[in-house]
Amino acid sequence: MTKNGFAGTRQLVRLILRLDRIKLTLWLLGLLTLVAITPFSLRAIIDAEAEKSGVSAEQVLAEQAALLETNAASIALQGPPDALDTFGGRYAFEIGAFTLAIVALMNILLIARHTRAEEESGRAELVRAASVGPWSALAAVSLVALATNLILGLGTSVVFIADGQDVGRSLLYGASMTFCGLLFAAIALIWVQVFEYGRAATGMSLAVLALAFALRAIGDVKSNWLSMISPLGWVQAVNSFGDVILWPFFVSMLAVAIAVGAAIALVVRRDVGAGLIQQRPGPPTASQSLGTPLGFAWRLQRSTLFWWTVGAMFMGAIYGSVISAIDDFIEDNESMREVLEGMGMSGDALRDGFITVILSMIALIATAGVIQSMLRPRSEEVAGRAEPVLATAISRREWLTSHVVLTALAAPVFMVASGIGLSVTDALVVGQFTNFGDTIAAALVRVPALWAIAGLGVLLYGWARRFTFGVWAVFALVAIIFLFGDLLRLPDPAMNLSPIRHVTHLPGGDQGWLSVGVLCAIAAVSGATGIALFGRRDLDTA
Amino acid sequence: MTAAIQVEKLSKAFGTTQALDELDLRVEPGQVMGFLGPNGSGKSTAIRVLMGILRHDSGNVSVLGQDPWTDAVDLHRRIAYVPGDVNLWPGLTGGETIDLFGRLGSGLDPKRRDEMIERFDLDPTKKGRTYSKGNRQKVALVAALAGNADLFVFDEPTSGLDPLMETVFQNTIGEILTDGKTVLLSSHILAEVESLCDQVTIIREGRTVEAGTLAELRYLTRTAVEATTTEPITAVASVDGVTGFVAHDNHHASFSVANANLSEVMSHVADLGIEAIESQPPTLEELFMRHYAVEPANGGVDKNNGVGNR
Repeated sequence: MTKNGFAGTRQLVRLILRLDRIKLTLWLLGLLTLVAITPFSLRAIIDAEAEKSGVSAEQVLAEQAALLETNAASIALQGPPDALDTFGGRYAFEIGAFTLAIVALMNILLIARHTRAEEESGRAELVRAASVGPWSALAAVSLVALATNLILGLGTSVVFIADGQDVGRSLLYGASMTFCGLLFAAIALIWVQVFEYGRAATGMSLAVLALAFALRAIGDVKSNWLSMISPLGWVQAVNSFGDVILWPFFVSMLAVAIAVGAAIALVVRRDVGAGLIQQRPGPPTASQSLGTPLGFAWRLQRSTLFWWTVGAMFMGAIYGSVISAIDDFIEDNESMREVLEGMGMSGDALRDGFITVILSMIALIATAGVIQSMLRPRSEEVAGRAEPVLATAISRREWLTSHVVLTALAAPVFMVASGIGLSVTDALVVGQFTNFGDTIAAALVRVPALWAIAGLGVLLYGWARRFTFGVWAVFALVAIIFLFGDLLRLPDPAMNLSPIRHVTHLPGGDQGWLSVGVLCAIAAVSGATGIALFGRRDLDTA
Repeated sequence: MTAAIQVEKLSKAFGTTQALDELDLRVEPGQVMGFLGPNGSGKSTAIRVLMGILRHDSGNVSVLGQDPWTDAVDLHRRIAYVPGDVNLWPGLTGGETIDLFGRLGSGLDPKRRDEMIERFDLDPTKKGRTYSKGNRQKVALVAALAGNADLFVFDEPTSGLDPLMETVFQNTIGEILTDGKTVLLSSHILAEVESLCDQVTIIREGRTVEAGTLAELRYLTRTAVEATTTEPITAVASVDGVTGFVAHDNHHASFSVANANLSEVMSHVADLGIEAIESQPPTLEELFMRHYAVEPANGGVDKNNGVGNR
């Protein structure tokens, strides 16, 4: 067995590359574009600023560094404020933890797609029946992940070198990107052994990613050890453009080696298609609620909705725990306080600003959850499970509407959950609730933006199943505008394409209710049109 | 009485692929119609049009006197459908799935539900993800058979069942027929079609190529004859309707006869003084091979038999 344990790996690598040639290319191009845009646009911004105020670019950089070092929201989103007075350090900060999270996401999806999802579909069985060893599938996808992350790391280094950064430091930064990808590929490799279903394995890997992000967010804001137990924290701790430390690389290497070793050990201890967690028998009859279209949709979506709600609350809680740190910043920093007061800003305004950024970020992430719920009818159709249901006395309109109702309810539930998480942990730290109602209102005011995006998704789905994924393009656009819009100096009309931008004036600001109304109208009209169109099209049965 | 299913000149294209090309199908109430055709001939597409899953481009379709697209919801209370590929929800048990289909569809008689689960030897506590292909089909069959439908539409319902369950299925269909129900059965299992169906419709490339009772269809084909005669038999080779004539010796030959010419040929052979004769009616396989085999070159000439008879 061991002798030919890896037989056929080369063919499987080719198979993966053939299947993923477009997907992986797009991921790499997208990520490298995000990386490459950063030096390009940041230089332009800083040069313009320098020219305006008649100082050197380095001085502008130093001034901005001083501001960023006290900006808890930026630190929570992007990472430790290290070496911000160097261009390289500043680029790395702007590229930030969020981009690293996207790298992690790419790896998690890659691993799940070629391991558990293949077994689930039964295709892995066909492959294993050929002259292929027990570890070949694992080895093949690991090799592809390794190559992908190496290309990503090298590409990143090239971008930095091309900008004129030190070659050694650029390579270090590229390597940290590579390690970030490998760490999460390794985490996903473990989970796909444990769970029988790709969806569960992906979910658990994403949960680890969320936890890793949250730990480093708290750790970075509070400058404490929490960052050091997060894989994302390790790769950022390298501090490629400041006082470099190398141990995170060794820790990462060790972690990846342990994870891959564990996966190799686990894979031969289970059957193809089986997980380490066994199935239990269930009820022989259905409960009453399962007999209605809405009850049925709920049954299909409830666990996803539950975990997203928990996740949203958790994210809120993480950020809630650092709100009080903003006050500490200002208290500790006399000159900072004077600067802010000179700008007419109080500590409250800073606090509101932080909550605004955090809630918008959570709204962005929650949008992914809302889209996932919105896509449930699509996956039912793809899996061939919609056909027998629509051959019963449930109308298409009822069927789709039941799912859309749940999607519509999911948006406020996610947002309120995050608002509660935020307020409660802040209250735990401070000892009392601060503006609880305002925070919840601010969370809720973002809901119409989520509805509008989901509504567009329903419209696309009703139009034709193959267009449905356009909703992820909308999501990507919204994410880019949120994360990189300022950096890219996008013109206002482009920035305004993002629905989330129109509902960010709470807390502490004046929310224009017109935009709320317009977003609700967009959601309602596109959703209703999508449902009507769905009633008219062929079900995709191929 | 109106037909349970009436389809006239039904056409449906997917992009440039013509899946159904003026298909005709008529099923009378109380009938079991066998719906046959090679893979990819459009059976499932036709069934999906009947179920209101797909809309048709042209032609007339009526199911139980109603339009399958616009009256889908009403109709589906009276129809039970078992698709060709049964896909179940991984997290729902078989029992839950059966109840779900029953409540959303043509109803559920609890006593009959339990009886069917017993009969098909199904474990209703297992999750959908753990069922084998045959067991998934059993879930769908139990859900369909435990309801109160008037019309049953089965798309290759037994392709994953073992011979024992196949028999259970056939017996159960026999029972529902005595209750006056109508069945449309698409199947590749010819023995099943032969034992269950009064009528068959054979389609190919989206067109109906044959429809009628099995007896009528048999009449359109050929009978194999092997005869030994007192007089030399070789002259029979030139009689109208005789093909594939092989003389084993002067008095003993095998040949096939178009059923239309059967009595004529037989009297000819009788005149030669029959010592022994054996004749075999066309098997169903032969019947279907005629239509399944590669493109008929000139209006029904079949490569297998070499000679057309229409």
